[in-house]
Amino acid sequence: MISVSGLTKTYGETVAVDDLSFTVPPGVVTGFLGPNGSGKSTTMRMILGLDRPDQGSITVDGKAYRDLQWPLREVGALLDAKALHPGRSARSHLRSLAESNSIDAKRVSEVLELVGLESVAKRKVGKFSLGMGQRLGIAAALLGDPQILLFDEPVNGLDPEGILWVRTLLHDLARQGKTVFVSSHLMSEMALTASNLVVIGRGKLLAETTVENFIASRTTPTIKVACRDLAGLNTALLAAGAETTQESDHLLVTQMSQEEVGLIALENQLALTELTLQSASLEEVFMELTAGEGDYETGVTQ
Amino acid sequence: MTTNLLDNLAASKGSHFTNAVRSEWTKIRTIRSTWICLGLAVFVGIGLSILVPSLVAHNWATRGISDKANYDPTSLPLVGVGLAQLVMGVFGALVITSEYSSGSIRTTFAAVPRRGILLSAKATVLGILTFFVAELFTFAAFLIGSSVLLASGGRTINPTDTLAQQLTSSHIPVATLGTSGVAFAVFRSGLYLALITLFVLGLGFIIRNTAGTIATFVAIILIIPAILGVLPHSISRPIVEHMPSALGSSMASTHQRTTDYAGTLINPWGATALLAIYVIIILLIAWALVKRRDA
Repeated sequence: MISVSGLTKTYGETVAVDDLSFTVPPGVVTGFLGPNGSGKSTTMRMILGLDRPDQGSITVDGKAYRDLQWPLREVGALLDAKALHPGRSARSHLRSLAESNSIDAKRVSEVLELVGLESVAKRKVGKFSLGMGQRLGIAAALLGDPQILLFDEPVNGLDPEGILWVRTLLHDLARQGKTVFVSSHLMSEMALTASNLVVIGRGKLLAETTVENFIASRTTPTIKVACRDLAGLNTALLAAGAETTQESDHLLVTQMSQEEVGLIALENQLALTELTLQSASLEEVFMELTAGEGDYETGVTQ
Repeated sequence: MTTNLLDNLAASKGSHFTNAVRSEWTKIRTIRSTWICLGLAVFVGIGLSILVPSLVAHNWATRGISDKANYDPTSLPLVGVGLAQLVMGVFGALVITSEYSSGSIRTTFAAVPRRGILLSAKATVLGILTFFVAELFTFAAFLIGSSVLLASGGRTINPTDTLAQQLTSSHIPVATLGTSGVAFAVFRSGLYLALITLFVLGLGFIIRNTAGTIATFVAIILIIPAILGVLPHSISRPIVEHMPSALGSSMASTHQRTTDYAGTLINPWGATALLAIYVIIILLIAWALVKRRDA
């Protein structure tokens, strides 16, 4: 469990994080969503005690990070996969981390095997690809077998196979009852990975909810319906108070449930060929919610 | 109850520190640049300790009496320390600035959030490693440098000779480790290198940037004393004699030396103590900043 309360951080004139409060519960994957420059990484650095908040507090399992006895055994984090000394081998890197937190040396081999890097363990990390670097970062996060895991953009630079591997790993960790907090600016990835969401824009909390609620609460349910007599169906639905848009071979219906549409069709003796609920994608909802919240926006209307 | 708490506190502090030391030792020995820097320092240092004594010995007979009076048989074979300190300083800078430039300092601080413990562990590992290497180097440089002097027509100092006898001799006087105070001077030169490396480590924690740290270090060791040298002696000497490089010259000698650039130097053990105080001050400033700053 991670609890963030009233967190504020400014760098000079720029407010990076603005009165942010949320909690990350154990047992599920919580996505941390926001456009680039919205304060995700700053928040993660403050959770790890690297940056000092101007105001507010953060606790991990009830304690401030700096007060943890052996932090790597309680919180594992992947911040920046390239932040390594290029001349050191993967094994030496993990070994130094294990020693600093009194972690058994055999965990180093275990996590190297877990992430599939044992064959390159002696190679200098400067020669690693971005994907290998991400795997090493994940190995470092898992080293102390912590209950709380933070991953900042873990699928960056990974190939589709790697992305699937990370997604499965995150689900497995959550199933083991761990607290898993994953940041991303890729909504589609979060839709597949996370079940809870913390959404921020310009350092402010925009939403803290489940992925399902997030989509449901922010979109008008639209029903796609088709039948041989579109015009007849349209008249009947309008008479019953629905709003419709007629397309070439179907109608899009709002202000009415799927069940009601079906009953009206039955009353009018119309045989439906299609009756489906159209849900907006997380991507669309996110774009709508964070429009104007990013620091570096393109001129393209979202 | 209180003692129990204090015992636990001491035990936990101690084990955090020893774990941090083990971790830093693994970090420092598993990158090649550590051994390249230390090897290079020894190599160029000993090279200079061969070259300069052979030149001085070669010209001895033709030197004037005042030149001969400035000659110090102990510090001449240790001349390589001056060059070795530059390489050691770069090493001391890299130990910390490479972590800032790669960003791995964040991983380090996440693993050891008590930054005072981290800083002292880094200083301990670096201090011990450079102390051993530097002592090996200074004793080797002294033995090699004085052998060069002997081979170039020098003669071992006879303790019963007066200074005047030594200076008027056509043979350049050569000190041995058995000569009174010489072993201590060689030891202090090694200590000087270790302290300078720690000094630069502190600078690196403060400046957090490789180029800036090395530039500051070179300015303190070489450039500032050279610039001050153009000022009248009454102004420059009191400053220069307290600067690290003059302290190093003093530490390499058996007695309180007089030089043309800084006048009469501080006595060797006094210089050692003063340099140690500088190192402690710079590490305390580093600690105060590192504790407060965002990583």
